[in-house]
Amino acid sequence: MFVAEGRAGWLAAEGVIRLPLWVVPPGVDLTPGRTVAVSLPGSGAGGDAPVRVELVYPEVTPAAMAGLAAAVRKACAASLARLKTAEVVDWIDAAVARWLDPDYLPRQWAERLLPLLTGYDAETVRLELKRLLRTFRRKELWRFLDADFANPDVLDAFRPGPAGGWVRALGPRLLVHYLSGNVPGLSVWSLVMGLLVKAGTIAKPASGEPLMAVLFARTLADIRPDLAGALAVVPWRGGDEAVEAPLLAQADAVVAYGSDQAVAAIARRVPPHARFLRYGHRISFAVIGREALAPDRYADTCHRLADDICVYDQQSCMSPQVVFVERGGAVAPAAFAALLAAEMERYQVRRPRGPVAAEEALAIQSFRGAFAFSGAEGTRVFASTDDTAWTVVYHEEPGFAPTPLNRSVHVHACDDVVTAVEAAAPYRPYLQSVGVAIHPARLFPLAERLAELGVSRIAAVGEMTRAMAGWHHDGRPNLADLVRFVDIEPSAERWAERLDADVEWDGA
Amino acid sequence: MSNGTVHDKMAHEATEMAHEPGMAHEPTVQSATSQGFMAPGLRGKVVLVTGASRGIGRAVALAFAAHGAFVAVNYLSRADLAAAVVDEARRLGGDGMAVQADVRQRHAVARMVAEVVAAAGRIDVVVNNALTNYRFDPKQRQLAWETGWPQVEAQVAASLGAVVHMAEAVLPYMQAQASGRIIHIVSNLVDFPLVPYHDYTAAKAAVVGYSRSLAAEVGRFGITVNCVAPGLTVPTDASRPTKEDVREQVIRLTPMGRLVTPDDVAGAVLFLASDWARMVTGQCLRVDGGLVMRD
Amino acid sequence: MRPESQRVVDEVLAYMHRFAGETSLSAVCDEAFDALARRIFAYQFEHNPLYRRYCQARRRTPHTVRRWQDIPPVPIQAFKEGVMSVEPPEEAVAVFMTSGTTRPDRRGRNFHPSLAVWEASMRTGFRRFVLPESAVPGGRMTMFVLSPGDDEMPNSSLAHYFTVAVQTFGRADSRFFFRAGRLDVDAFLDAVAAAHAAAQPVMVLGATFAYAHVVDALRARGVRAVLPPGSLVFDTGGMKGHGRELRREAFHAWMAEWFGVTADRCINMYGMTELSSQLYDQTLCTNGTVRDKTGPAWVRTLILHPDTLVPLPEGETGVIAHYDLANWNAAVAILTEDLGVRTPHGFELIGRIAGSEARGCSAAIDEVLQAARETAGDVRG
Repeated sequence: MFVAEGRAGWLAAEGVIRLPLWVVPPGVDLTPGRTVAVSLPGSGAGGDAPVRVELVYPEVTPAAMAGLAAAVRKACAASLARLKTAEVVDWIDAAVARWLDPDYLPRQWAERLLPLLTGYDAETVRLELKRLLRTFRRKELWRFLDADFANPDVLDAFRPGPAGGWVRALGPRLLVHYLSGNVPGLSVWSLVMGLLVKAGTIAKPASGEPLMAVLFARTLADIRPDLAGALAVVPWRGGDEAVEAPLLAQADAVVAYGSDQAVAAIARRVPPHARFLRYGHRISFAVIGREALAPDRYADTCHRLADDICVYDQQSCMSPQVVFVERGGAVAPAAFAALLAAEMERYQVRRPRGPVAAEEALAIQSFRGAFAFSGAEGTRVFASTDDTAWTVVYHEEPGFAPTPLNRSVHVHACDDVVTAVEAAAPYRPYLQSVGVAIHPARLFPLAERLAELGVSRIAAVGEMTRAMAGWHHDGRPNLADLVRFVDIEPSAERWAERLDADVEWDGA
Repeated sequence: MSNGTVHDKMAHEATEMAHEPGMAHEPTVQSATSQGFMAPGLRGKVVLVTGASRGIGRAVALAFAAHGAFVAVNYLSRADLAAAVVDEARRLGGDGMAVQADVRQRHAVARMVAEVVAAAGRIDVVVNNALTNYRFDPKQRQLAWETGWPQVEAQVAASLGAVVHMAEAVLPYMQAQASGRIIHIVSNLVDFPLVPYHDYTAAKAAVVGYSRSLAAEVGRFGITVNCVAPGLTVPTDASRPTKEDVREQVIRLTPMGRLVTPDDVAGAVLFLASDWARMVTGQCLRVDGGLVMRD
Repeated sequence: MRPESQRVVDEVLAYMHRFAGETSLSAVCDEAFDALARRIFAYQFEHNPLYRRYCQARRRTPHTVRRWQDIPPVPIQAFKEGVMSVEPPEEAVAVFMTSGTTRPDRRGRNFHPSLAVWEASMRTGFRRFVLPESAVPGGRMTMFVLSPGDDEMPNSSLAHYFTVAVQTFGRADSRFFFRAGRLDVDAFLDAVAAAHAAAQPVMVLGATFAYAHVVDALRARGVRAVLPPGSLVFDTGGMKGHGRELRREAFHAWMAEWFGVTADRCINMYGMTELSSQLYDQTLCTNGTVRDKTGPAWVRTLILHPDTLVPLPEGETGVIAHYDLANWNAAVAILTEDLGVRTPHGFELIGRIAGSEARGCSAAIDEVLQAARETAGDVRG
């Protein structure tokens, strides 16, 4: 349990744990505002009583925000921006190392609180959090850097450029993150990307998951108090323009996650001089070749696919909404759909879906209703009996349409997956990950088709929601997109040489 | 002891035993429900019981009906008895239909299953109970050196053939539902051949083996496959030739101190079909009062 | 129509006749409602293979359905995707279609082999809730209709509703102001002025958005259209799907401001193409004390948990399901996409469910469908 640690720490009083949901540089003060109370069930061992946890939100005024932005810019220039990249990597690695220790208290708090805040199954949160954090060990961080920079040293100093001259890459002094909460801990990904290019950081957590970014930022601040000033996590009311204006005015770059509408609303407020990176809604799908439906493979294929669909209740943009299943395997596509349905039911027993809003449940009812009465030959709806926990809609022909999520999926039979994926073409701007289970000889022809369709990531079925380090999120070089390159052209270099009084030219 | 399993006579000469009104055909299935004891997940289920016009099959069918299920009552030749079972099923609060088929015939089984699905829309539970004609007479059984391959082959074709035909016919439906229960009525003679009926016992053992391998494959589809192995069950038509001396011998060896009744078997079948047994598959549940005890 | 259909029709008509003065809430018809609902369910189960398959998948059959609440309600999507009709659809005398504002290519259809039951339901309900003797002595009024009649829109159940209302309960000087595809506001204003001069009470009827249209016109001209004393305002449909939110109170404020009609003289009808009866608020039959909605005795409304579809107790918000005996040919039970809450006097409509905003970064369905349409448009263009 956390003990009182003073101003920025966990304040325990009379059996109540108070968690301030913000981390700000020393010298910046925010007033505690509204509180959201969560009751943690006791551990069960030794008659543990339930613990009342109060999540405390700050009062954020325009003046406080202006001061915060200025402080972060200043601290970044004075500390973070002066570090070598290797030191930044060490810093993040040290924080991740703490988080990978099962006894680390903040991790334990995250594992207990995140399921309550998000509604996700606790076991899923526990496992996926670990998996995600492993993506940020030192060796993986270098993979991110090397994926985007031919020579990551450009982040530290001018280095020779490939076309002559010299190149330097500078991260933003102030990078503002609008985080999303659909996958707990994904906020860490965004923070790490910024820090790797030494960006002064102010992050706004999602309302649905306000915790993980704060906890991770606190770990970073604990490890390097000298760098703490360059990193802030502050929740404020989304769309509060009075608060955001002084912040965005000082931002060099803004990253936003969310729906097209939400991201567009932010884009309108970002001043023209600032770089704006958006990560909007995406659709992912899976492709099951006949090779993956051999007698010794089909059950495993199905198991892995169900995991891709069900983990985090399909809220990740990397979870598939559509599955193409090829005819000609040992298991026919219709039987595979049934198998998937049975697997989803088992998944539900093991890791129940979180509660859904009335609108979400009704969207699933409506989705089921539409296909249960479809005139299309062979269309079948498999669905959990008593609730909306999972839905599989089987179609005899290729097709493509999104689902209401929360573990609902289309399965389309096809004769050849490589051509069937064409059905996704109308959704081109939204396509993202594709999970594949296919013979090596067909992997590349399929990948070519998918690349043309607009897909940006191809992973194994079963690994769809776990992007590897160095992934080009939505097809972009994430780190390179954050930096500003500075070139010293060969002419400047040559001219400088001329200005060296000691130089003697042999020519005219 | 004599036969473990006594079922509807699938015999061509089905006249061997007289109908015993008021006794063999009046199982006390209501007792379960009148005590407010209902196995969960049976209401509205569509259950096909083979050889259900008499004996154990009838008791099983009526027990399902008493739990609100729709029972398809399969028979070979006694349409009148099957119709009576359906009437009784309705009276007990269930519903049902009679459906004729010789379960040894592949096409006949396929047709029967299609008929049931056409009528009831689905098929949730299959109880493979029908027994080809077999005379369980300890005094007239064939000795080992009299039992050749033709006799064994005939029994395997009948016992194993029937359950294979059934699996072939119902699996597409059960797979499509992503759920199903297949229950085979076998015999405790497989474990304890007190009276060695070589051909019969070998065939039932084959069913047990097939049942386990089937369970291994279809579990992923949410389908369970289990066996129920009764001991000597009375009163049934087929157990008639097993005389009092053997019966007494079985009773002496049985911890529970009596013979099995058709209702006893029905209880185990209902358990395996109910939600209580949703995680039970590939098992053989012995219903013999503890005569056989082993893993 | 097959003879059995005729028998069902006769039974429904007999029920309506018997319970004409009752409402959904009348316990006196509990038993008869239950019996007839299950009878119609069994009949639809037998003759509609799509519905039978749907029910069998849920293990709901005439044998397992022991009370009307067990009848599986048909999602309204079914009316778009499939043919919900016991009688051959090509023999229908009327086909009512949903307006299709959200997806023009997919319109829900309700086939009526005969309109006898539909019209009996409409008339009986209208008399019970809109023209109760207490509010409208004599039972006939001058009707000014702002929405199309069925000559304008033959496939609209609402148009047919207005036409039957005028034919049955309208005085000879009743008029439709939506002609040839447009609402003639000028003619309406002239007619109101004339009625006012003659002190002739009128009932104005129309879809809610038609009133919005008139109010816009009045506002633009800076005039009011004060209705004569004793007049009534009837609206239906709400403003969802017309780009505006309009709360009930705001509508009443409009009526007071622009028509001089107080809220106790405004009645709101709730109808659906997929049903064959209408539900109403009880303003006029309770002297303005009860605004909760209810229906005639052959309609019952359940509020179901959106996730489990289990009926919810009073006071809890859920999805609305209607059981309508008059819908004998299509589906006796309908699952709507409306949220509501059960009250002691009926139910309260909370609103239609829009495309749900997904929790996270995965595509919200509406957004993507929009993109797909635009892409398709590009290809064609």
